[in-house]
Amino acid sequence: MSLPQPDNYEMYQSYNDLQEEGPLMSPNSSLLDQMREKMPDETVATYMKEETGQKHENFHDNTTAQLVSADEIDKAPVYFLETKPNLERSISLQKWRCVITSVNRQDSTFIAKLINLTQKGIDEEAEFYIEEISDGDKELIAEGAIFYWNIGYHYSHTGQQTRISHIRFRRLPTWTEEEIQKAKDEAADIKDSLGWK
Amino acid sequence: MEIKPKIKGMTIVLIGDFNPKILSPVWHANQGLIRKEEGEKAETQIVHPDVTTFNLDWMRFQVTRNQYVLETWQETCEDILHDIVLGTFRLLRHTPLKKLGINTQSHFKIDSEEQWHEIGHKLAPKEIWKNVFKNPGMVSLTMQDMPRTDGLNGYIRVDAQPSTRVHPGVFIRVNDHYEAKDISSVTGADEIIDIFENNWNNSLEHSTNIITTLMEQLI
Repeated sequence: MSLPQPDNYEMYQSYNDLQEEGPLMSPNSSLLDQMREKMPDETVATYMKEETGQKHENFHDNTTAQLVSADEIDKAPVYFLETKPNLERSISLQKWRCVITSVNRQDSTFIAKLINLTQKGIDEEAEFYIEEISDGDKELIAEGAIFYWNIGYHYSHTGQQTRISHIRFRRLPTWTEEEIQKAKDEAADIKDSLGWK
Repeated sequence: MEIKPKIKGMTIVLIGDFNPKILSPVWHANQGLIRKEEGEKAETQIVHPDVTTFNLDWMRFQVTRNQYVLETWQETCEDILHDIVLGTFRLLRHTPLKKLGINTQSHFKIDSEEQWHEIGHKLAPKEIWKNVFKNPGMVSLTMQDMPRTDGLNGYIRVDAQPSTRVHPGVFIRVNDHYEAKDISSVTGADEIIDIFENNWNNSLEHSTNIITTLMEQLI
């Protein structure tokens, strides 16, 4: 019995598999070579810096990092950096989704309700120090803000195992008027279908 | 005995029609989907109308015109992947999304090569293969459950292979695959994103149960 074959999308067991299976990468071609097949030289040349008259005749051999400043991105939106596969990983032993219930700026602490995502059970409450939060997330500390708290192990690319307490805030765009109205309309439809007045 | 993976990863894949040049790390940071510093320090490989790919220290991102892929091998960051997908396609809700894959993958360390071979025999009995091969060995096995039991279009697939990252080890991947009701008439992201949001927790739980149940029977 043959089954219909759905479109295949690549999933990778490791970076090496990504190299072998991904349509854009192959162990025998650099990323640049792959893109060169898709981007004719004429197109690539238009992205080069014209004011200095630079011609990158060895462009296809140059796959080392080329730092491009922000204001050059409009002129040269294509740039290549060599990267190594990320071998860092972590395992979570315990996960909570937390909601901030109060913030005490004087003591630099906040209290949050903890919803256990690892085992079903009663919600708990905990106090956190603001200094435990990454600088990039501190601006999000406010009543009602949601963050994820994971306790587990982190493994560096050299194999060092470290016990971690990982806190990261949830980042979602705020609801638009259109989305709020759509939700209200859906609620009204459900109410009508139930015959509620 | 609790069986825990040595390495655990997650990949979210969307099939649709994308504009890769928009989805740079700077765009993600400007929209508040990742931290500002992450947007500035992302390891960007390419930002181009046909493909954008960049790495953060916990995530890999790649999007082409037809495929959007987010991957992490840090279990502590799986919910963040979820939030990035949700946030992106709430903002870009007119992006046609046709299919979704929530893929959970785990590498398990096995105590001995003997036990490792035994696992291979359990998954793929060798008797009939010995009639045609001198030394048959399982390289990869895929099983599929279709149609879905939740009424949605799609299937669940499980791949089992020897692990390439842990030896002796077993790799198991669950592909929880969803499709829009009518792929040919998809005009936006809402249907697939609703499926994604409503099924995220169940998908993770179900995938973990599949992997755990299999390993309990194999070890």
